[in-house]
Order: sequence, then structure tokens, then C-alpha cells
Amino acid sequence: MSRRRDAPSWPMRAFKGLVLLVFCALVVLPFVGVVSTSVAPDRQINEAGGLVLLPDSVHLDAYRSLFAGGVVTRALGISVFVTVVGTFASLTVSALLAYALSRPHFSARRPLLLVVLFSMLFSPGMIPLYLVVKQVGLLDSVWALIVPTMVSGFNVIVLRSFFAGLPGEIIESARIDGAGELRIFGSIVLPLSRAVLSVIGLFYAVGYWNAFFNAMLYLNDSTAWPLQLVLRTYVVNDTQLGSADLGTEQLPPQAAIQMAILVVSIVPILLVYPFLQRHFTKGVLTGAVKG
Amino acid sequence: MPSMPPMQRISRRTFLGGGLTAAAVTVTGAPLLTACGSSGADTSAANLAVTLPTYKRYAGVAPDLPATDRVLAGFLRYPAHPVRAISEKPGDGKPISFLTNIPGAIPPAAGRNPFWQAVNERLGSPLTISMASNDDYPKKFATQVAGGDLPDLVNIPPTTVELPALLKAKCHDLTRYLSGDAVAKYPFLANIPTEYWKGCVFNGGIYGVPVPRGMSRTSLPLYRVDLLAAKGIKRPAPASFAEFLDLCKEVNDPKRHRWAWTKPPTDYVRQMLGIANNWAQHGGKFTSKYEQEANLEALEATRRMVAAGVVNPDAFSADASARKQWFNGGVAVFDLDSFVAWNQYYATNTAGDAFAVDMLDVPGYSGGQGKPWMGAALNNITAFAKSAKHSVETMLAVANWMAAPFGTEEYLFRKYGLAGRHYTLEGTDPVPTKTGVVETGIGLQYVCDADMALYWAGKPDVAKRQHAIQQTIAPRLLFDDSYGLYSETMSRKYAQLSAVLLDVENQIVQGRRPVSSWKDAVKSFLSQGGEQMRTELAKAHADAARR
Repeated sequence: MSRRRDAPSWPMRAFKGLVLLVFCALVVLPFVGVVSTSVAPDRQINEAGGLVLLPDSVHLDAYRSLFAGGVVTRALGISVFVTVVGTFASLTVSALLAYALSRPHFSARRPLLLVVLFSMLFSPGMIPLYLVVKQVGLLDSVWALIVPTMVSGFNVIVLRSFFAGLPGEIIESARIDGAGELRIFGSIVLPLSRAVLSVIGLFYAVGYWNAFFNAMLYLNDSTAWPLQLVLRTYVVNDTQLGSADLGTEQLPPQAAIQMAILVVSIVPILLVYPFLQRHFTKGVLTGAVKG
Repeated sequence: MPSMPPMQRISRRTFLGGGLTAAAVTVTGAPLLTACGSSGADTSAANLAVTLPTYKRYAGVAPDLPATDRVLAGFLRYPAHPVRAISEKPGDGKPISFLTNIPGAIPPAAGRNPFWQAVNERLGSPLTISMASNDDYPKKFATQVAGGDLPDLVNIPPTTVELPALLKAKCHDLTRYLSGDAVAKYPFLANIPTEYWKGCVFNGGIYGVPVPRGMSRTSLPLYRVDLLAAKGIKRPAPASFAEFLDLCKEVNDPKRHRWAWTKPPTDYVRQMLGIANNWAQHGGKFTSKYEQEANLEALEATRRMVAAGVVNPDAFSADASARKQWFNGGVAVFDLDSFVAWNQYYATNTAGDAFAVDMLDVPGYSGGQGKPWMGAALNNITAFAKSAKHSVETMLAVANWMAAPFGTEEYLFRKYGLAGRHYTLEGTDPVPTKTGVVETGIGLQYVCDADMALYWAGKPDVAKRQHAIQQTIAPRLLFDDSYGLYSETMSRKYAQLSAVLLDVENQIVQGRRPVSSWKDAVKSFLSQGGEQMRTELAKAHADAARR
């Protein structure tokens, strides 16, 4: 009797399966549409009015156009550099700051915490930030994409909460064994914090990967533009690719280019997720349940 | 890993200085553009005192289809022996910087772009171009102005607020170099019709060089000749709105995924009804196109078109590039667009050799003739920064080089690049290569430009059709009476308030709001800035009249 009560009936299972299938389709189909349109023949895209789900044949013209001239390739390199270096720098600085803020005997803890909280509540605005970047000589430097956004107050608070929750006995015993603060941080705290560091690292990486606005403001030299800004000029500019005012020649249709751009910009960051997935739930919950 | 631009050394003092600057701006809310305070010096009286550059048409190239003061010159093929019109390099050897938007993809940087390198060689000065997409440009421009970082040549967006004050504080007054006959020293600037220079006058002086558009931006229904011919319709010429709607219904075929229109042609119906082109002026009083009573009729007529199903149902959510695809793909037969778009359709044609485009004239709503709107005169003006380390003469010589017209060797190079790499010759016509399209798109056309020429490589019929429709509509063109008159409120609020009205208009034509709700929307437009614009325009006009 109890088994029959616990196990759902087959119509219910079918219904649940159907609901899940619909949700999966809602997630997967747009992505399939994006990939299909990026490789569909131009005539089919025009006839379909912009989005193709099943291409008649596969053409890579859009990708060739995108990577011709080396602009996108170079921008991809810059984005990877900014994301890797930026994430590493952000994690280092944030973890060090959060660790200091989590130590009860640190005398400047309270004022420093207030500074961090202040930065979460009040944004400096576009022009003051531009003036700072200019004054410190970062204009037209790729470091302008990393330094101004290196520390996120929110991420520091999440890390601090995690560090504060680590058992004090472990840290005390390390100290009794003669370890200094840096040794404790490097050998005890960081290995115990892999989950939260993975998640915060992912937050930073996605932030660096997707950033375009600071590059638009701070970098006049388009050779230092990251991928997202280069791609944005293809997608947002509501004109045909490469057409000056007099128009020129036949090109892959804008939709194919736009979709190829989406694929190029989504895939690299998508590849990072599977490696961090096992840490994700634990890491995200850290900030939620501890004060 | 790509090589990175060098990073300047940051000292503790510089860092603190940066922080204090930001703190000052955050606290006071005042960007450090202290010199740009509004002085109120932009009086129309002073502007009218300016003698505009004397127009002198360049006679070095004879068009196949003649130009008038409104109709553009037409060419059936590119001249076999283009004239080399400028013998000396205009640059002074030092780098010239230019800030601009670009309409397309990011071109390869100068180091990897043979076209850009050739431009530098011909100018005699390396050109460093700071670019942003059309959408991002106003923000980048505003930030650089606030940061005091203006380059030598500045593409000024038309929606810039407090423009006269900005120009006076930061840019050169070019009056003594260009006014009257002085412009003759720069023959291709003198070749730009006087009308276009009106938009460059602020604070009683000429503060920029124009990038003219005018007739090339006049927008009327473009239609697919080949698709209409397949229905047995040749040279359609509806004589009223009713006939026009019948034509739309005739070509509409939703079952075959084809609609008459890419979007509701409300502005076309407005032109049938003789509604003003932006602002109309009668006896010194200005009337906005939105407030004219005939709008109710135009909206009702367009609503009927949408209800009849002759407009693509996705029209209200699609962007311009999607609409262009519908037109190219035969999903729509009509699109309301300009002579520039006409050429672009040939550039992106995927329908084969049969593909052909033409333009409808404007009938009167109930018969007779409608009143087509003249396109906006300027794309932008380009000003020369006072901080530039070049003489004004050098920068004007560069602008003059950029304005060499169709038929000259300079124009051929500027628009098409280097023979062999960027274009191939078919007869005497330059046909761009894919490399050419990507490498030449560095935004030179926004430094200065000649009037557009009616021409499409290898298709003389295009120029003939364009010239013919321009001749037909030219005598009836309705001009924007606010052109050349500055209104501060208009520069601040017009785009925002117009967007609100466009939203109301879209809801009305979709049947979601009654046509009568338009009156309330217009009242709101007037109270939130429209009345102020009217007053400012009337004052500017009165000042002008007193001269």
C-alpha cells in the first residue's frame, strides 16, 4: 500500500516528464536557433525573416567574416587575458581583504568593513570614475579593464562570512604550531575554502568576460578592445555590416553574423561551468545562511 | 597573448589625486567642464550676421544626370580617368586624432590595415581614430568632453546638449577661414551647398564643417520591382490613400509568408496629408508635426492598414536590420526608407539578378499631390578642438580632402580603397571586394563629405530611377523650418519626448488605444517641453527676421 502511495502514477510521471520537456525546450531551442542561424544559408535566413531552427545546409561564411582581419581574434585574446588575470587578481585581493575582515582581533576591522559596505551602497558614477582612471594614467591601457573593478564589496562580504565560519580551533592550533597569518591563510584557510572561492571566481570571471562599457569609455585604441565590445558593434549597430553610407557589396546577412557572435561570446564562458558545478551549490549557500 | 598597450607608472600622489578628483565631482556633482558654462551667447541675430561660405560648384567632373539645388547628380558609370584634384598632402606630418562613431564592424587597426596606411600616406599625417558604435557614441563623447579629452577633430552628435557653449569653450571659430569667399581656398568645402553650412553656425560664428545628407536621406516607400512585376504590376502610382491601400492588399500574401509592409508607414500617410516635416513656421509661429489635427486621420488610416493585415505582424518588435532582411528576402514588398538604403539593398541583395528596387511618389490623401519631406540636412558637423596642435588651415585642408566629390581620384580612393585589394574594376566601375568592405570602414565619411552621388557600380538603371524620382518630388519637398535655429530644450528633450509619442503611435495603430488618445499624448508633449521648444524657436526666428 505504502509503495503505491509513494510512487507517482504513470499519467503523473508522464505529465511531469512533459513539463520538464517543455522547460528544457524553452532553454535549449533558442540556443539551437542561435547556432542554426549562424550557419544557415543567407537566402533561408532572409526567407525565414531572421531566425532558422533547421538549416538546409551548413555555411561558415559568418564565422569567416567574423574572424577575417584579425580584429575578433585579437579581441578574444584580450578578453581571455583580462578574464584570467582579472579573476586571479580579484580573488587574491578579495580573499586577503575578506580574511583580514574576518579576524576578530584585527583592530581596523570595523572601519574597513564600513568602507567595503559604502562601496556597495554608493556608486561613483561614470564621469568621476573616468576622471580617476585618467588621473592615475590608466586611459588607453588594458589594465583599465581590471583595476577599477578588481574588488566587489558583495563578493568580499560573502568570502568574509565563509572565513568567519571556519572553526577557530583549527586556526588556533596552527598558530600554536608556529604558523604566521600568511601561512595560516595559505595552508589552512584557502584549502578549506575551495567551494566559495570557485563560485566567487566564477562571478568575477563572468563579470570580466561580459564587461564592455568600461572598455568603450577608457580605451580609444580599438586594438585593445575586448571581445564583448567588438561584438557589440556588430550586434547593436542597427546597420548592415561594413556598409558605409554608400553601401558596398553582398555580405553574409546580419542575422548570421549576430548569431555567430553570440556563439563566439557564449561558448568560452560556458566551458568553465562544468568544472565549477560541483562547488556551486555549497558556495552559493555560504552567503545565504551565515551572517 | 596579445601585446598590451604600455601602462603608465602610477605614483601614490597620482592615485590620491585621482581619488580626490572623483570625490570632488561626486560631492559637487559638477563635471570638470568649467569652461563650458552656458553663456547664452548663441543668439540667432548673431548667427544670422555670419556670411556663410560662398557656394562654388566643382566643375572638374561632369555628371551624366545633372544636379539642381535639390536633385543629386547622377552617374551611370565611374569616370574612366578620375581627376586627381588635390596635388599637395594636406597634413603637417604630425598625428591627427579624430573621435567618431562608425556604422559597421570594427575595421582592422592601422598597423594591419593597408587602406588606413594609404590614407595616412596620402594625408601626410597619421590619422588616429577613436571609434564607438552608433549607440555608444553619445556616451563616449559626453564622457570625453567632461574629462577634457577632446581629440583634434570631433564628430559632434546632433543631440549634444548645450552645444553652443561647448563649441565656444572647446572648439575653433572657423568664420574668418570660411566665411564668404574665404572658403575658395578650400575648393571642395566651397563645393558644399550653402544650405548645409547653416547647421554649422553657433555663437555668431562657423564652428564646424558639415557632413551633408539632405536629399539622400529623403525617405519614401521603396518597393521590390521584381515582386510587383510577378503580380503584373508595373510602375505603381496610387493616386490617393484608398488606391494605395488597395495596392498593399493586392501584393499582400500572408499565406505565402509575404506582407506588403515591413512596418506601418505612418510618416508616409502624414506626407499624403501635408503634415509638417518636423516643425512648420507660419508668420513666426511654430507648429510641431505632432500637434497638427491631420495626425488623427493619419493614425486612423495606418490603424486600418494594420487591421487589414498588410503590415508584417512582427513589425513592432523587429529592429531595422530584421526589416531589411524581410525586404531582401521578399517577406515584405515595401519599406519606408531613403536613397542611401536603396543602395544598401543592392549591396545586400540575395535575390539574384532580377532584384530591383524603385520608390513611390506621394499622392494626396484624397487625390492630387502629397508633400514629401526633405531629409535631415546634416549627419553631423565636425569641429576642430582648440587643444589641437595643428593649425586651423591644416585641419581645414584635411576636411577639404575628405570632401572631394564623386568622379575625383580622391573620392575613388576614400570610398573604395586601393585597386586590386579593395576593389576590382568592371569596365570603369569599382566593385568592392570583401576585404575592401571591412578595411575601408574607418569612418572617414564623418570628418567631412561631399554630397551623395546617385550611382551603383554596374547598374546604371539604379541612378536613372533615383534621379527620376528625385526630379518628380523636388518641387514639392517640404523642409524642416527649425533647421538652423537652435533651441536648448529641443537639444535636451526632443529625442526623449518623441520616443514617448512613437510608443503611443504604435499602440494606436495596433488598436490598443483609441485614436483620440493621441491628443492627450500631444498635450503631455507640449507641457513637458514642446511649448518651450516652440517659444525658443519663435524667438530664434524673430531674431533672424529682425536682421
